[in-house]
Amino acid sequence: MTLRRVFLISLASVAAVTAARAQAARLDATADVTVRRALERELVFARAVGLPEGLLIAKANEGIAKRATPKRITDAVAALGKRLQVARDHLAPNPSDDEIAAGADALYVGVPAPILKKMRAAWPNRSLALPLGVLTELVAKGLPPARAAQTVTDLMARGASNVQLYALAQSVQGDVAAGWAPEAALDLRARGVMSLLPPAPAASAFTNPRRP
Amino acid sequence: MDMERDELIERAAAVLRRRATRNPRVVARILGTVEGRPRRWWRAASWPSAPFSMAATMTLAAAGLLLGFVTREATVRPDRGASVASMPAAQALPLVAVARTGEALPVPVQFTLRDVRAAQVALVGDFNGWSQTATLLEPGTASGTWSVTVPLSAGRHVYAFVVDGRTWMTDPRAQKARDLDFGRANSVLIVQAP
Repeated sequence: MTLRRVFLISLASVAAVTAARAQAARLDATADVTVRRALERELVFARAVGLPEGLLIAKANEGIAKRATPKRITDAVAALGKRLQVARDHLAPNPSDDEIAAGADALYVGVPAPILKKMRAAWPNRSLALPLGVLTELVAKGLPPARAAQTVTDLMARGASNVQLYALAQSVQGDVAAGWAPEAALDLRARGVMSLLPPAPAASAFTNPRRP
Repeated sequence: MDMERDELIERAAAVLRRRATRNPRVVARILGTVEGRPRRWWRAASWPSAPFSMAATMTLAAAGLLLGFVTREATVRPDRGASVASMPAAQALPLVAVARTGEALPVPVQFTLRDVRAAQVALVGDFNGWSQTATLLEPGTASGTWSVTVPLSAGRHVYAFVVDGRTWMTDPRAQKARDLDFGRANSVLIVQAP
């Protein structure tokens, strides 16, 4: 390693730490010093891999506002950093910050990471922020993640709009609040949305060239 | 018989003509008395001639009825009791608006809270970095009501209210989201943008 390369790496490191400290200034003024240092480390990492740094600061501020212990705050920030990275990778190629945040929320409630990739494949050119939010809420209401994800991705693939996905989440929430079993509510409401969508193209029409 | 009638008519007419003969002095005295009396205010108004008065009166009446019918909705007094009864008593009301211009635009969402003892209410959430100073609710005209409208991006958001800088409060009307990180639940809201 040449002296010049060492100098450039050192310079980049100093710049990253300086930027992280500038970002950490957005941290609540009452933050514990251990929280502040842990956050600075996470911010250096987030900047290096291109994650939205504001979400990490917000998580630390949430912990401070809730009067959590420094350890809980630093653990939560570190866990969020990992979730953000997984979400970003599975929502590739160019997820927005909102999508990364929504993906991290979905992972937080137990949605498996490959589901995010499947949803991206269903909607490659549209924002996944709302479908991911709907999926997160369905899982939070007690639905098995795989079942909820299958329903949402099926609806997306069939051309459901954001409004229809939103209505699905609202209806299921209402049904569960009224005492329905979450799975029964999801089945019924998904069928209702599905009935409004155009029929799926018949596969045989494309696979059998002899068909008139 | 006709001659007899004519004669009778002529005699009656002669009698009446005599009685109708006006004494100029008597007439002058009557007029002088009448003109000397003060005029009543309701008699001071001059009315148009009878045919025009009838037409104008009918037209005005019809116009009044029509105007009253058209503006009926605007002039009906709101049922104050009903509107108060339909308001949530001490709850926040997230109003989810619909943006019709695209997914990327933020959607204005109003948060309200009713707390008669609060001196200050802050809205904290993932949309403002959980800052307790960034988004303060403003007091409403009714006692104890607070509200603020913030633009939110489409998707799921978690939030809470902080009353007087120390009391953490979830939205009583909204769904709650478990918080495994810090153990204190948030309220959750999904904002849609078609």
